[in-house]
Amino acid sequence: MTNYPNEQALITQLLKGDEQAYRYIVKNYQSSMQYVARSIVGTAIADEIVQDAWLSVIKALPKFEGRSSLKTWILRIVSNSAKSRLRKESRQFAAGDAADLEILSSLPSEKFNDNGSWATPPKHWDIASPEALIASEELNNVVHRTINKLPTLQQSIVTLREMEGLEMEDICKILEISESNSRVLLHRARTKIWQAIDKHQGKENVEL
Amino acid sequence: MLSCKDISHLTSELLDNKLSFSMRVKVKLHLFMCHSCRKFVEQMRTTVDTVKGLKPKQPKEDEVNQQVEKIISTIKELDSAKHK
Repeated sequence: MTNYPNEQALITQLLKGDEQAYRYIVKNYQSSMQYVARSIVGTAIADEIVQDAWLSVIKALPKFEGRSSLKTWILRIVSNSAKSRLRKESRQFAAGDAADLEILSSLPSEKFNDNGSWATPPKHWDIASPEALIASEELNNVVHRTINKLPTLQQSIVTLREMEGLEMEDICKILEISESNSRVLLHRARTKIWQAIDKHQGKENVEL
Repeated sequence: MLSCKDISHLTSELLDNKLSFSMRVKVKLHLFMCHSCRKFVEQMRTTVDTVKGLKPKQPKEDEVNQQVEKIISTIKELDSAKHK
């Protein structure tokens, strides 16, 4: 994979229509573009939106001013294509609705007693460091599977924030949700991943 | 006094430094006394760091090739339209 010393170098190559440069951004940005599109319009037409977005990216690139990172800029284009599509179909973008955030709680209530203390306290983890968890094929798969099963908006937030390192402020603008909603969704996603890891702790030892 | 359940709701805010000073003090006080919540917060920190350490998903080679092909041919089309 070609590496670019900085984003400007990459953009210069993109403006020349360089195939390697496009290969680089497709490889590194396309998944995020799909997450954003799916979060806004749903899975069925997400691919179409991504294609529309690529066309807009090609056309608008000479006007890119570098006020955000290239990736954030591209994801905003995806988000705008998706939202204008919804407007055309006079559908509402409901991702930010409070109705989606019915309860703050993300752990099952049976985890706690009526007085709010732990009914089943967190158990000991045999594999307890991030490095060891990533190195364990089983747990690594568990985490990936759990992320893939999250509702699309949570999936987008957790991947854009934790894996891709985007700023929360940018994510909120791209997905058009409030900061507080995004934080609730991020917390929920993390809690679900914690539960999945917790459930699988000790399993590998039992099988040995 | 915060309950363990309250702490479980506030864990992300704690880990991301989003708590107000007074709330932070309350949470810390609870953690000082509660072994289970300390463990939960530590495991949540580990969870977050694990996800951060995972490689972002990349599209399959075929998908990349197809997409790049489409992009390059679109660029050529746009270019030739410009020169007409």
